This record gives sequence, structure tokens and C-alpha cells, in this order.
Amino acid sequence: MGSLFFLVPLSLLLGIIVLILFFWAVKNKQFDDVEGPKYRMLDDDDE
Amino acid sequence: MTTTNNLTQCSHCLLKFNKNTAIVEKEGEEELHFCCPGCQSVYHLIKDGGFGGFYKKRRDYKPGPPELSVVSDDLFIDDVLKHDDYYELEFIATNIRCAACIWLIENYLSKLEGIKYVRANYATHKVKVHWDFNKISLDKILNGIAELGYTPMPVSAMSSSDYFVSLKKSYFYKFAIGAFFTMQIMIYSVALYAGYFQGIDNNLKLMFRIIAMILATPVVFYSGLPFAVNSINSLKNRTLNMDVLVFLGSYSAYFYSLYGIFTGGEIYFDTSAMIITLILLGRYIETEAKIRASKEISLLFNLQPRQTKIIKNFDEENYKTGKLKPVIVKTSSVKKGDYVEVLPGENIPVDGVVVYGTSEIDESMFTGESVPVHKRSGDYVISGTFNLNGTLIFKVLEEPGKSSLNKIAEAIKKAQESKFYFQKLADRITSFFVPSVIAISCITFLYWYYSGAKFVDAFLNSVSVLVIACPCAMGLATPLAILIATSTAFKKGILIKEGSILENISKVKSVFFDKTGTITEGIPSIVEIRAYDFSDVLKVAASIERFSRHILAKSIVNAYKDDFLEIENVKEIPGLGMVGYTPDKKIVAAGNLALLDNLNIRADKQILNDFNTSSRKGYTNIFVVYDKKVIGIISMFDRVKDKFDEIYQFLLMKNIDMTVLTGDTKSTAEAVLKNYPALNILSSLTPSEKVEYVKNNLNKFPIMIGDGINDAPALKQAFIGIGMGKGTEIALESADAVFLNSNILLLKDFFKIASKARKIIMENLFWAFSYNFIAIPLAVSGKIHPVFSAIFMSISSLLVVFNSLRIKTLSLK
Repeated sequence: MGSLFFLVPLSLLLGIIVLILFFWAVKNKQFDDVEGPKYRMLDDDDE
Repeated sequence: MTTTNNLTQCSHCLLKFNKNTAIVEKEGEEELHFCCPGCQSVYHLIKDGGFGGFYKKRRDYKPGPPELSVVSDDLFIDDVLKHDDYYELEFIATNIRCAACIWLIENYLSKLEGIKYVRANYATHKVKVHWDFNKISLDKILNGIAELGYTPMPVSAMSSSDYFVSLKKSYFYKFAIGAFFTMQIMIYSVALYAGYFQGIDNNLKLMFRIIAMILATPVVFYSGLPFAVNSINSLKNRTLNMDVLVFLGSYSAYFYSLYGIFTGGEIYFDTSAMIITLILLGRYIETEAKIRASKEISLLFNLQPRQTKIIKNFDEENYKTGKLKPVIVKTSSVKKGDYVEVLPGENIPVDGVVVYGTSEIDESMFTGESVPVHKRSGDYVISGTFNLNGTLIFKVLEEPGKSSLNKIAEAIKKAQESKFYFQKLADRITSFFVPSVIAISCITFLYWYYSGAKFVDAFLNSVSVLVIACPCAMGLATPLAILIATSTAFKKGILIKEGSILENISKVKSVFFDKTGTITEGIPSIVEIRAYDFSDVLKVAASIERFSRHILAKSIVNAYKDDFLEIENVKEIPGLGMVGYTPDKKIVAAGNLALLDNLNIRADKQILNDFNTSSRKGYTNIFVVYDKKVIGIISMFDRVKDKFDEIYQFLLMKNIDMTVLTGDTKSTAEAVLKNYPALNILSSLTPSEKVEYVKNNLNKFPIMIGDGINDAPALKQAFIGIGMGKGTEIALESADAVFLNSNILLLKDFFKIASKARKIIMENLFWAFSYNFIAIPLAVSGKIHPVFSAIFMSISSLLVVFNSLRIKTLSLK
């Protein structure tokens, strides 16, 4: 049981780190165009 | 190329159209078909530039013709960012239809000399370019894109949605924080509930409760801030709205729980966080829908030209001999009394009176009437309308700021001010619910205090009334149902800009229709062909009419599916018709009565009698001439849409008044609508008279459906204004909802979705109330155990969520 007092806050900490990473990605416009890149990847090699 | 039933597909835009109207071209073995010269020129531009790969690459391309227009760079100058060695601009490319368009734009631009960087965003259609200003001008870049059919628009032209964009951003962060922490709180709450039934270690319980508190704090004070601010504002205005209820519920639950942690009482952090998060989600999606609505509309049109050609010291003689050359100026600087030149294919920039030339003007954007109007010296022209086939010189009557367009805009503003807004259902309920809850809570306090309880206990009991009356279910009841109804409607092609119109649909007792383009097809079609000793009237007519851009001509050509006669030396006489010759020099013509006079052709008595009979029926008649003889009359008529019948029966069954408001004459309107006796016809109306009629019927909660600029003020005035998708920008902007594909039948779906939404809202409110009805008395008497009330609260919210989802199951044929 004692480990819970360490693991529960750790899980919270990890969650918050992920949240911060997510906001960082949004601020860096990583989600601005979620459709285009899959086509762009195929297109660039053709010409 | 696929060719079936004489339909063919345009090699560029993939539209399917009548093969006879195609521009045909041979490329090696293959035959290319184009629907218009625009597509043809774009095709060659793409092929010659070495971008032929575009046609192989495109997948899921939505067919549609390109809009070709010249762009003036002064619209974009404010958006240009100047760096030391390059300039930067972000603009919106319109008409992007698939991923290959992105590829084409990027590659086409990057091959121009002087372009340093191009990036096009497929999701937002924004294109960012960096260029060397010594090597290439902005004008060249923009028009390079425009020539391909992707007319650039300045990002700032979409400024109407700017407010919503920043609002959405702020809601996004608030919701993301709220959602993340609320989900975490749920984990610990479930653990605590389980602990209540199974037993839990005391230290662990304390830790979970403190974690829940820590997690709830940012949700309440960051995500919940807008509710606090809005409630304070609304209290200042002495009104009560939904936000007050959310604020009271969530904040009181939070502080009550805070007290509970230190005294061992029950905690409600989960409820307080959940209500804020769920309602924020609703707001976020609502804003997104508003942005999409304003974007769809602002991209549709750009009527008034920004540049105008004026002629100084106009004199007819000098103009004819070519001594006077027009000067290009900004439209905004045109003065009263200036002379303006408009060539075929251009828009009229300002209001004026014609002094030279004749032409046909398409005023459909203004009146909804698709048959062009013939204009000559002394006639008035309206800004924003389209000049079809002749050069006109006109004298400016009103400065650009006072043009008809601006007058309509003012009428809309006036209608807006006097618009009758029905209070939102949720706000109406909260306006009595909030005071009652506060009153009950006060009474509870007084009751306990005077019956001998300690101050703290009496206070806690009264707060628990507030917490338990927490409007989770009630707060979600309307927004969620409306949200789901709006997205269901969008999938059917109904764009709802103001969701609250759905709440009050059952009040609607009258519907006003615009005639042309709303009830009728908007485009005349052939109803009758009379032949005089000649069998192939349509063939002759179509062969000559295919050279014209006139809408009647297009209808005739579209009705004909076989081969054409060969015709040379074709001439279009504005206002009269078309004249041409066969290779063996026989005259061929199609046009109105005046054309016969013009060509010195006599029609015999029987033909003239037939002509008069048809005219009386409201038909437009075209004489067809072959070898100096009238060989036939083609009668055309703007028919009522087939689908209107269903709507008519539907509204008749619902006992809703139907009225047609039209600018047309009484006889025409009555001839068109003679099969619909229940329709009340009001004819020869000006835009302001239309508004008056709608206004006088406000007690019947009128719906107005229309598409022209002249309908816009009435759309705004109506209880619910519905614009037709092919209508004009101003009309669509004034409307509360838009039928994207102009299908009148959607009115039925609109009614169905709205009634369903209303039914679901009522059910939701019923649930929310029954919960409160049981829980509040228990809370007042201090008998309910806090854990049960918390679980009960969550269940009532979930019921509302799942009940709202049922709107999606509505079956629409």
C-alpha cells in the first residue's frame, strides 16, 4: 500500500508533463494542418 | 473522356455538362472537352507550365468551375510583412478542392523567379510566401495564383470571424485544462466512492481528497473564470442567465468541498469541475460552428469591384473615335458626376444612369431574377450587378458610399435593431430557477438557524441546497441538444448560424417566400415549341444561341442534345437577340419581337396571335428565324421547382400561413403560382415593403426564405431568416440559417430537426427538474447522504447527454 503514496503523485506528474507537451505542440502549430502532410509526403518525390 | 447520354465531363473542372456546349480540342489521340473558356485557359496554363502531373495526382476532387478574376494587390498591401531581404505575405487561396491543388500552388509559385518560400496549408487554405522584392512584384504572384482559378483573398477580409477565432482559442485552452484535470479528478472520485462502500485507508483517503482539491483548483479558477466574469456582468445588468447558475453551482460546490476537507465533510470537487468542463466543451464547439459559418459565407462573393475606369470630359464623338481613354482609379475615390466605362464581363462599380451604349445586365444578385435586363441611355444601373454583352458608359449618380448596396446594408442594420429576439429557453428557465433556488437556500438557513441548529450547520445545509441544485443537467439540457441538432443539420446541408432558433420552431405560424430562385428554378426552361412548316426549330435555335451568354440562350442550348448547324458571322444585338448566316448565306436568327422589326421580317397573323396567347400566360417567347421566315416560337417559363409541391403540402398540413413576397408584377406571379391556391401573393414589392410585411406578422413568428440582396433586410427582420446557398453574400449574412445547395425541400428537414431538438430539450429539462424536485427537499431537510446526491447528480447529467445523442438517430428521407 505504501507505494501508492509515491506512485499516485508520480502518475499525476507524468500527466501534467504530457499536458504541457501538448500545449507546446499546439503553440508550435503542429495541429494546424492535419490533412496535408500525408499527401505532401507522397508528392515531393514525383518530379 | 467519358461520354454518356450526350453528357461529358470537363477535362479541367470535372463538371458534367451537355456535350453540345463543350469547347472541344484535340491533344494527340485524346479529345479534350471544356465547359468554359476559363477551364480551357487554366488547363493550358497548367500543362504548359509542366505541371500536368496535377491531373494524375488529384483524388477526391470536388467538381466545380474555376472563378477567374484579376486581383489588385492593393488589397493585400496591409498584410505584407517587410523583412530585410524579403517580403512575407499570408493570404487565403479560394477554391482549393483537393490535396493536388496544394501541390500545384506550391510548385507553381516556387518555379517563379524570386520566390524564396511557399507553404500552403490544406486545412486552412492559407498560403504563406516569401519573395525577393527586387525580382518579382506582389501583383505577379497574386495573379499567377488567380490565373489558375484559386483567387487569393486577404486574410483580413475574413475579419468578421476574428473575434470568434480568438474566442475559440481561449475556450480551447480553458477546455483542455478543464478536461484533463476533470478526468484525473474522476479517477480519485471513483476511488473515494468505492472506498465509501468497501472501506479505505484513512491516510489514502486524505491524500485522494487533497489531490482532488489541487486538481479542481485550476479548473474552477482558470477554466471557470469566464462564467464568473459573465455572471458579475449579468448581475450588474440585473438579469440572470445560464452563466449565473453555472457560476453559483460550481463555485459554491468548490468552497463547500474546501470546507469539507478540513472538517471531514463530503467533497464535490468532481461535480464542480465536470459542469465547467462540459459547458466549456459546448461553448467551444458552438464557436467553431460560428467560425465555419462566417467563413463559408465570406468566401462566396466579392461583388463590388475595387477599381473603376472613369473617362474624363466625356464626349460621345471623341469616345467613338477612340480619342478618349479611360483612367483606372480606386472605386472609393469615384465622385458624383464622373463618367464610368464598363466592358462586357465586368461588374458595375457604382450606381449610375446610362449615357451611352446598350447592354444586358444580369441583376440576379440584386433581385434574384435571372433573366438579364436590357439597358440603354437613360436607364439606371445598380452597383454590384454584372454587365453581360455590351460596353456601357454611365454617369455616376451616387458616391460609392451611398450606393444601393450601402442602402440595403443600412436597411439590414435597422431591421437588426428592431429584430424580435426570443429569449433562449435555458435563460428563460434560469430567470425563475435561480431566484427560487437562492430563496429556498435562504429559507433553509433561516429554518435550521431558528430551530436551534448551530450557525455553521444551518449555513452548510443551505449551501448544500445550492450545490445539489447544481445545474449540471439543466446547463447541458439545451446546449447539447442544439449542438447535436446543428451538426445533424449541417450533414444535410443546412448551415445553422444561430442555434437558438431551433428552440422555438413550434411557435412558427407563417412562412414568407421570395419567388424567383426560391420557389421557382430561377432559370427559365422551355415549356412549349410552336413550329410553322418546319420540324427542327430547336436545332436552328440552339445552333445560333450557343454563341450567346444570355441565360435564355443557355437554356435553349442545354435542351438540345444533337449536332449543330454550321453558322458563321454571328452577331449579338443586345436587347434583341442573335443573328448569323449559314454557309449558303441564309439568315438565321433568334430573339424577341423587336428583332423581327430590326431584320425587317414580317410574321403573319397566326404567329402573332400565338405569340400574344403565350405572352398572356407569362411566358417569355423567342422567335426563331430561318431564311427570312419565322419558323417557330420557343416559349420559356421560370417554372416552380418540382420539390416545392412537397413543401407546400407539408406546410398546409401543419396549418402554417404561406406568403410569397415578390418584386415581379402581379400577373406574372399569379401565372407562375396558379397551382397553389393557399399561397398568398404580394407582388411589386420593394425591399423595404418586404420588411414591412414581415414586421407586421411578427406575432406569427415568421420564417423568411430568400436569396437576393433585396431580401436581405426581410431575412434579418424575420423570426427565422433562411438564405438559399446560391444567394448573395449579404442575403446569407443576414440569414440565421442557410440551405447550402439551395434545395427548398430542406425546409422540411429543418422543421423535423428543430422539432426533434425541441422535444429532446423538453425531455432533458424534465429529467433535470425531476432530479431537483426530489433532491432539493431532501437537501432542505438535511436527509440526503452527500455520496448519494453526488452519484445521483452524475447520473442525471449522463441521462441528458445520452438523450441528446438521440437526435442523431432522426431518420430523414
